[in-house]
Amino acid sequence: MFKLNLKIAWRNLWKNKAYSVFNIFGLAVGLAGFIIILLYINREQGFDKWNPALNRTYMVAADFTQNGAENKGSKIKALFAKTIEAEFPSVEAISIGWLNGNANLRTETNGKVIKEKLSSVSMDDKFFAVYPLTAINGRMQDVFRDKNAIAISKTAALKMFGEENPINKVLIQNRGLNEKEQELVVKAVWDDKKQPSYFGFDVFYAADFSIYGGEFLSRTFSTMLTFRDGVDAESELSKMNDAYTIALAKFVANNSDVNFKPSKQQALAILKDKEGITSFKLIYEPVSDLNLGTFYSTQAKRTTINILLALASFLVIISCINYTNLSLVLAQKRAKEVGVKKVLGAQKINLLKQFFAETALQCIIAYLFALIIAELLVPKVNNLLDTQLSLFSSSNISLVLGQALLILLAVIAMAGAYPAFVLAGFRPVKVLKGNFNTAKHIGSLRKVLVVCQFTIAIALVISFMVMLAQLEFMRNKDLGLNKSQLMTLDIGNFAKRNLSPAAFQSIKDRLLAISGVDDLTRATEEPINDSGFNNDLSFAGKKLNVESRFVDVNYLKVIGGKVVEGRDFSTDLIATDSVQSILLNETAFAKLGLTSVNQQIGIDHGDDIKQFNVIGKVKDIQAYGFEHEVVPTVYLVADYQFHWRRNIILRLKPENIASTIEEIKKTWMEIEPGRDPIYSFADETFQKMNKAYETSNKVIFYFGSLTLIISLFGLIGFAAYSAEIRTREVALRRILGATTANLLNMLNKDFLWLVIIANIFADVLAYVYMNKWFAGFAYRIPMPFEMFFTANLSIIVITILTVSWQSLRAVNSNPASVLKAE
Amino acid sequence: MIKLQNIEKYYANKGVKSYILRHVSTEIKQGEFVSIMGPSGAGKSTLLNILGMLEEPTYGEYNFMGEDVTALKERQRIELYRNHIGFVFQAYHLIDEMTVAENIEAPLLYKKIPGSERKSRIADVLDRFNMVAKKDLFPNQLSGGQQQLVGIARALVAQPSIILADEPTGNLQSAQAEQIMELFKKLNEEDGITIIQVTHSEKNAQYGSRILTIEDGVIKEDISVNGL
Repeated sequence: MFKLNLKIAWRNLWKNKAYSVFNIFGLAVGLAGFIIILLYINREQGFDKWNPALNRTYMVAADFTQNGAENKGSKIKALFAKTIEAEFPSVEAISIGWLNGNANLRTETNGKVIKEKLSSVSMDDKFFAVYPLTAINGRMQDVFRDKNAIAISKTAALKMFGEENPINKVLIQNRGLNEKEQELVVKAVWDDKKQPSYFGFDVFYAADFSIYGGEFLSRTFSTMLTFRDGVDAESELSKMNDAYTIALAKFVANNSDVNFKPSKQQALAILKDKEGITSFKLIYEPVSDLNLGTFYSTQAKRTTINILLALASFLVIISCINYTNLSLVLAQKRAKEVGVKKVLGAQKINLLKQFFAETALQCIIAYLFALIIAELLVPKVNNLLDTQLSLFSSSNISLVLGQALLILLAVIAMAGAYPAFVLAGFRPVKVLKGNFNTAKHIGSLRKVLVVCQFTIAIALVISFMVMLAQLEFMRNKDLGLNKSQLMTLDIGNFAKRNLSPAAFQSIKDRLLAISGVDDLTRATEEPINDSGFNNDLSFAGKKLNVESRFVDVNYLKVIGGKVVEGRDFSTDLIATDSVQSILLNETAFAKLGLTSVNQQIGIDHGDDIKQFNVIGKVKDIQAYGFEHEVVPTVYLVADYQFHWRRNIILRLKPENIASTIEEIKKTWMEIEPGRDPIYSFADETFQKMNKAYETSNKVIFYFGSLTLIISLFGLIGFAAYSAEIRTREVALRRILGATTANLLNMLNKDFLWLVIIANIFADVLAYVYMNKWFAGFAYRIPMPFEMFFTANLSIIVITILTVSWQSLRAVNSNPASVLKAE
Repeated sequence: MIKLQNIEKYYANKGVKSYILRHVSTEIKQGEFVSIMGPSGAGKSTLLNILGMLEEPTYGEYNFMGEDVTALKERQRIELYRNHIGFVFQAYHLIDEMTVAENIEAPLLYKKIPGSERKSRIADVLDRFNMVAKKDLFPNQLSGGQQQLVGIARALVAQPSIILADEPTGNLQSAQAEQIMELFKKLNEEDGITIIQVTHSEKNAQYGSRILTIEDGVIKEDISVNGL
């Protein structure tokens, strides 16, 4: 019987080829989207799972407020590790060092040079007790035996040495312009594919703390610890918080007497008194959680994953709805079969089995197509999300396929259940009497499904358009500087970073001699970035913490900033400007309550307050993207000794940019040989800042298009069938004198209502979601309601075109032949 | 074999009962060939549907082989069709997606008859109806008469004790109709199968042994053909 059912299922598929294609293709696309997202999620959650102690392993850092500024470094003083080792037996091991370094390594074999910039980790000799990487070749602990020893990942070993055994091979490390090169010997290899790590490092070497001498304990390091099995980590960590606060107080009070035991309150008082630390707490995060979102990152991956999962679920649900809908449409054709079978003695359960078998057949075909589509799409997705997913070569392929198979079963159940029960429930008498019309029975459900589908699809389309409008605004908004052709070149050599303008002149002249360079200046940092310096300003009894930008005189002129009141720094007045003049931006003016230029402002220098004259007001420059308000900023041309001008900022001419860049690189290699020049462009930096938004906009675009396409597939099938079963009615109306327009109007009406209702729901949904999205921006456009209108109108037009296209055959058929056939 | 007592069927519409069948009482014995006749809308088909347990009477008692059908659950009723009743329809109602042989096989599948016996019974029936050459064709590749033959073959293959036929020749030309009626007569006389048919045609009714005439839901006449 099963075989027969399968045969009938296949014949039905074949008979209704067009519907089957829509059904299967829609389902396949939905499943493909889901499989890709499963791949992504599995990858993102697959780090460090090989570590048996993973759930007992934590990263620890300090969060404190010192002199009014919150300090959120991801590191903590070496004192912490010392305290823990002495006082906490519940900790199995604690390790400190650097977790996110880089190493420029190269191999030279027979004159062939392979150069790679690899990410590195260097920690103390307890690291493998905390993070038990295992060597597949050599021994990990050997890394600590020799200063020049290094461990390397299998992937990196392949890159550097090919298939040869890397053990005892030499890697040469270039340590920049200010230190000598070093030869490193590979002592161990670990498999980074089998032991994927959140820290994603390619090489490991022992941390060398000897350079710190007596200052070691006060230096901060990345710190990782593992508790013993069965320890309540949370309560231990809060005990650590108190113990370390006290240890830190003793440390800053420089009192190591064993009898000096301050309480926590006393300790905090000491910290406030000695260091100006007003609040202090430990930040600890389980290593297992780091990848999905950490205390230190604003754009947590967990959000991305949730959004992707939601979108993929939409896609699968919509495909299921489509499937159910088209099956219900076809149910009418199957009614007779059900009636006859029941009369021949089929029980309901027989029929349910048959219809589920049919759904299963289609779903399995869809699943196979989905795998193919997913494989084809993976490279594009990698490009979009900046990941390295792969379907058939990934190590967790069986996991993904297994999960996808579960989804498939869920889909079969979801998509197949309702039609199966509807079909199996037909009453034979009614069916066999002949003029049986299922459309009346299942119409309302079908309508609800269509409305749901279109609501989701339209909401996504609107969201996409609104996001695009905001992105367009972000691309075109006046940022307060001219970001095109603005290049920042890093000065590598420490000795060249603190040159006075006069001493820098010869370098400047060499760069200006390049015909494509318009002008250049220097600053501590590039214009679109944190300047790295802060100061407290005081004016009329008010105090304000501002960002300080230490620059050269012509800085604003080169970056295209505007002085809206007063004057810019001037070369002629450099003698006074460099010691007593400052510029403030508009935000600083507003926050200080400053009404005009030429006022005296105090800058807090720790011990004393130095007075400066405000000579001008600078238009706000958006250095932090669109999420954050512009911070109050002071511009100074003072002090080359402690505020190194380590970046040269060049304004290039728009013509022949590529050759200009080549010339700059060549000239710079002459000035600073031994290192490839490091440079960036302001517009690219800016683009990177908006990249997350651009990406999510693209993701929404792809998913929105897919849902829309699948929904339209559903509509095509639905409309075609409606027209088909109304052929007789259409023919009769035609004979009674209806025009083509009348008939199309009649056939369109039902669908149009559904889509209009869906539009209304979608508008509300998109409005709520977009409002939430906009909340993340300090600078945004007003809600663009014209986008809602445009989307609604286009969807309605598309609906009318689709339904009319499908109806035309019925409308244009010859009434005589239709009625005769009846 | 069949005993109807005071069967009534009506639809209540806004409190007004519109009767389809009223006070129908009759008995049909094993081996009879009954034709139900009457004008359109008289209730012939409803009566046949009630006999075939496709519809339930609003009131009254229906005994089929000594069992009270009105008290049966759907599952048990289906057991009854499987084992005792074969249906033949005016519109043939073959399943379009199945071949001739598969259509004939369908009722046997539901009776859970083993494969080898199914094959031999199908071969038997096909042979008897001279349709061996057509066994792999689909219904839409056959003429109306041939389709009805398949319909009858399908009803017979499960070896029912009674065949219910609703206008079996209504869609056929007279020559084909005659062939079908001859077949029914032969099945009734040689195999002893009880046959109940609804028909419009006096001529077809003559093939049977008894004619029930229904008008406005009431049995008007009940005559034996042989007695004429």
